[in-house]
Amino acid sequence: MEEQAFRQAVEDHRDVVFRIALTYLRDRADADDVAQDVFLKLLKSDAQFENWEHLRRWLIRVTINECKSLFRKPWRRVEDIENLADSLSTAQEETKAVLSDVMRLPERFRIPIVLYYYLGFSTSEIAELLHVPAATVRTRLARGRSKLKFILEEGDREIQPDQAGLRVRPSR
Amino acid sequence: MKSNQIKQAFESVQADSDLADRVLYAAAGEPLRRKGHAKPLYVAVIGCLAGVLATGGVAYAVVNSSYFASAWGNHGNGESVTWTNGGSSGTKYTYTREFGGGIAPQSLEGAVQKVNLSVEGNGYTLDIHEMAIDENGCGAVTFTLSNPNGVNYYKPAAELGELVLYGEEEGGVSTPSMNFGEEWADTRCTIDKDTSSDTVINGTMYFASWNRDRDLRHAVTWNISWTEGKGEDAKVIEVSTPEFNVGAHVDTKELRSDDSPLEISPFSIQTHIDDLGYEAVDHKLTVSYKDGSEQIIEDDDAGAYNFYVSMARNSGENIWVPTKLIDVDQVVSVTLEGARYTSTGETETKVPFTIVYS
Repeated sequence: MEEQAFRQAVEDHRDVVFRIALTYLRDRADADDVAQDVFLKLLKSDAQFENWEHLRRWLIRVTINECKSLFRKPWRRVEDIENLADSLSTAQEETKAVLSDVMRLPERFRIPIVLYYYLGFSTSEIAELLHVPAATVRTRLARGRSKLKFILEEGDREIQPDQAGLRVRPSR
Repeated sequence: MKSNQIKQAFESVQADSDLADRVLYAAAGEPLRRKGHAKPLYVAVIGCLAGVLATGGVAYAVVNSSYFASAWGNHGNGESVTWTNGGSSGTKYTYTREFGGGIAPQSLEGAVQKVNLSVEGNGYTLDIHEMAIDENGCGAVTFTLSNPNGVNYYKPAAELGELVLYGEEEGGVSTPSMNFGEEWADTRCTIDKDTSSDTVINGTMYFASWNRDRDLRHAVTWNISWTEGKGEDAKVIEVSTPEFNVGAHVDTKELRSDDSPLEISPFSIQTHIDDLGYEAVDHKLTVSYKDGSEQIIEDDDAGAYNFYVSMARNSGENIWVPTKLIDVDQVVSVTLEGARYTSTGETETKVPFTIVYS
């Protein structure tokens, strides 16, 4: 990939790559390392991208693979979640609180929630990305949403009851 | 909370602006400037340290089996692998993974099932050899993945013994996977360094079912997949072996702590998340033997990750598939240490716990 095209790709997609890595790893430094590795892989790749969206999906898939591929503890420490939100965002306190709440979810709920609500993927697309059945994605979305105590309003993305169709773990 | 608040929250997070420069410098031969501590990538250091967490002096009556030597041995890594991480200005963290000797206790005689199934696709051939599985739905299966034109796998991961492939690359396939019926299993593959080449990869797939009650009734298949087409026309193609009807499952033994059970087998340990409290996070898991020795499965503080699979099922169970076989008959207890995090309004409370199952 030519340098100019590479720089443009980084400019366009670095935040998405970083945010996905951050969702997995819950550590800014680790997420930064993954972003670096993903774009290094892009630089060395001879893949041909049809368009902006194709490149974006390639990067997302590679990011997920990078995060999943190495021996890593699936449940990471959560002690620093509050500080994490503070260090990541200059947004208002309410926005930081949302970030903290999502980051505090276990990984199996956190990842589908972010892919669905932030990146706008369908449950089928998430299933393919995560290599889990679509029904499992729906379960995790339903449970993750329950944990976040969503108050769904008109206009929000919502999983239909018959789409979820799954029991929800009671809050403790 | 509204769902669009999640989008708003994540869009408030920005990556570093010098990312492109750092990657370009690295591509030009400069060292990568790493900041984190969680991932063993290009800075991985392979070591052959003396094992200190072995199963001690347990006197095995052994099963002489090429399966156990392959699947539960060291995969050509020596007794352990060690990797370090840390940015140029940050603290260095060291992690270790210790391997077993590939020797099985006599109780596992007859546990290995010959599979001998194959599947081909995109120039690759996946041959499945032998497997063993327990009542927790966990185990390991040996395989060979070959391609006369070369197997396209991720070298940095292989340095630490893990096999990772990328199906979206031209001429590539994804890391082999496994199904119980229509359902995916959680899997991780290793590569046997001593017996693999650029065109033939010998490896082991460690697996855990997502729902043992559901999955253990079904036949098993193994899959490879790849991407055909580009852009909006891109499709993932997956091919599978014929079905394999699993024979006997290796027994598990139940240990208890108050009202909470733990199921242990030579291949896995299973605890129950619901019993621990939903917000429980584990930090250390230790198996104690009759002779006083200990097998550390996981120790966050020590950086010991002596497992292949560690996952949480939707049905409320925690699973570990350790790197060393567990001699269940010699186990006295299993100790799980961690902390529970509870939130009351704006306050989060951390309460350490230690649970001894015996």
